[in-house]
Amino acid sequence: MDAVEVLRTLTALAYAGVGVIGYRLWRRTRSQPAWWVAVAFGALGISVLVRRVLPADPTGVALAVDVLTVGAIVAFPYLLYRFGTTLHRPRFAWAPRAAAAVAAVVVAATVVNTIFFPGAGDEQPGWWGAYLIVVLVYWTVLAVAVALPLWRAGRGQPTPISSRLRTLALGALALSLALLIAGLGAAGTIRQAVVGAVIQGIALGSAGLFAVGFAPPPFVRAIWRGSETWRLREAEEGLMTATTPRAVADALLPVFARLLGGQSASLFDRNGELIGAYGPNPDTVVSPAWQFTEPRFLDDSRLAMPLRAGWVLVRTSPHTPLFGTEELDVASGLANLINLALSRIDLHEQERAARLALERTNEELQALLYGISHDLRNPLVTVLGFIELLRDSRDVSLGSEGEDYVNRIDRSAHYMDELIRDLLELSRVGRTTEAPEVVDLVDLVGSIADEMQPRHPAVGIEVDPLPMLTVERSRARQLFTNLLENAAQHAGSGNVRIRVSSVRTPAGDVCVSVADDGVGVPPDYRERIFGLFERLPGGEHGEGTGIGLAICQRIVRQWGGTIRIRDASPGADVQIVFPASLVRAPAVMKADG
Amino acid sequence: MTSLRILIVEDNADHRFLTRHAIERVGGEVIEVVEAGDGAEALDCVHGRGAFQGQSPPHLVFLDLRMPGVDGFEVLDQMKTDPQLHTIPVVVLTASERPEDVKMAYVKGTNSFVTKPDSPAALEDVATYWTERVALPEPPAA
Repeated sequence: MDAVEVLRTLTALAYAGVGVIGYRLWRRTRSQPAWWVAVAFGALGISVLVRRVLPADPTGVALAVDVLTVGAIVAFPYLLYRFGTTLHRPRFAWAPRAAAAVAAVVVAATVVNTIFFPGAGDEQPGWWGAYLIVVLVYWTVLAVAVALPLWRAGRGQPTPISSRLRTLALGALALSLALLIAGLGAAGTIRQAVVGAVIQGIALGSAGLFAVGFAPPPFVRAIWRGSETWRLREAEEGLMTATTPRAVADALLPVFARLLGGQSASLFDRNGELIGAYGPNPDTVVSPAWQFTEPRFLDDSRLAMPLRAGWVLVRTSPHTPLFGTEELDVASGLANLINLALSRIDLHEQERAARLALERTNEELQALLYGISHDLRNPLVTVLGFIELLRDSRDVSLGSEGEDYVNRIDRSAHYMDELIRDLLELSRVGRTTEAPEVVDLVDLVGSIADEMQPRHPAVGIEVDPLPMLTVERSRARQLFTNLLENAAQHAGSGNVRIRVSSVRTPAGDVCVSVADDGVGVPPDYRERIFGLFERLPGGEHGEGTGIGLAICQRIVRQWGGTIRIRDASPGADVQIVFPASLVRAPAVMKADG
Repeated sequence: MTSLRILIVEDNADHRFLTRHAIERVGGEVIEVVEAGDGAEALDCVHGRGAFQGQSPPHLVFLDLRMPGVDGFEVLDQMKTDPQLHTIPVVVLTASERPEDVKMAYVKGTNSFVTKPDSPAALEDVATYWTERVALPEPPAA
């Protein structure tokens, strides 16, 4: 067997293979285009294969088979053309009927020729030349009529669908080319062997193109999808950073449209409201009655993809139902990503709403606290005022018991006053309209120490280098006043030493320490003591309201810092960490530091 | 010598009592204390109308801020924009220590802002300060 024979066998097998592919395509999609593919290539494939084993001079049954197969082969371009018209409307309305008429004539002529002039070597009838030309023209015209729209449909950026269409177009044209050469070769005098090989080669190639066009193997698809991959990745990134459903639509809809070979796509929420659209003529309405859970083609060019909370509607091309089945899988994957992104946005919204509600409640509570504390002051003024009058009154003689009672009332009333003042102060932290400014802590602590001097003459306050912070001055003053007063009052004796120092942490934050050498704070109180109304045991209510440290903690927290108490043995060390963002200038160390 | 006429504007009867007590302890007989229970009465007093028909305006006013009806801000505003009355010193005496109230009172022209102290002694100090100022002799006629 020479090369041409080998090629011929291979070509026959190839077309049989394409016939099988066509059949399986129809089995899978059951669409009209697929049916024509199955018929056209099925008939061609079977015929070509059968003819390989047919005897050279068929008679009887073999003759009938011969006639059938040759008829099928000649009918192929018409069948292929019918496949084309299911995808693209023919430009001239009369074209399909004209094609049918011509095909009928050609098939009839071929049948006649085969029956009455079997064998290639016999003398040909006079009309053989004309017949040949008609067949060539018929084949070429119909092949071009199929190939041209397919080629045009594949124009623009390459996608798997468009690449497949162009591959098919090339296949149809290649087959015509093979035929043309065969026809010319029969009429001309070129060396038969070379021509035969070339013809078979092209025919084999066109079978390959058809095969790849109808059933591209994964690596081919991967190559075709190559340019799409980065676009998909971009879309995924856009999806993950989207903060509104509209942003999701803007990121994904272009990808959806292109992936499925279409121009437009729309995203709807679960109520059928349009979230976003892309493209020249997108759908803007969905039917609320849709209940399906898998992507479905509503008609030959509209695809509906259900999401967990909505719909994507894509205007695809007519080719998509047949050629876009793998792309549908990718689209389903993207739909899952959309589900994820939308539910993330939903959660985010819920969380934000909850946080806002919480903030509002907080504000209301603060206002309530302030209002109550404020209203309590009026009766307190009366109580304190009249206690004094009672004491100073010459009309009333209290006696020692009376004095005692009045004193107790007075102490409690003063304590109430302190409580109310502190509560008012606490409720005001964070509501200040003061602007942060650069505060030199050394100056601030120094001035607080000077103020405290008359009231606590035996207390010694040492101030080491401290940083300069950008904070609200009055809050800073409040913080350090509370801490120093606390240390002075609760040390346990009059002559306590307080040292205020600072240290820089590796992260750039500054830790300021207010340490005293008094009685200290027991370990199990070091956390609790920052709570509201928490006081150390053993002290009378004259020892403080239990609000001062709560105020300190709130101030520090507002600034994004932390406060805690450490053991200083003897005494307690209150350490406040100020975040680096507040530090304007670090503490200036002394020369011998 | 004409007595020093001091007006206390305060809706809380107990606080009125305490303030009056403090002023009288300081001022002795030369002080005449007049009371108004709300803003409307206060305005009647300074204008010498209504229940205070024919009486001369006060030399000094202690003014509470939060009162029902016409409040202290309104009284302050009217007094300080009136050509006859704006020279009368006003001491705002209130339980509020809100910065907004302080600012508003000064904007409207108060002479002083005192948060109600918790002891009559402190109240007496305030009274002493202002009665001494108001009782200064008239400058010689030009």
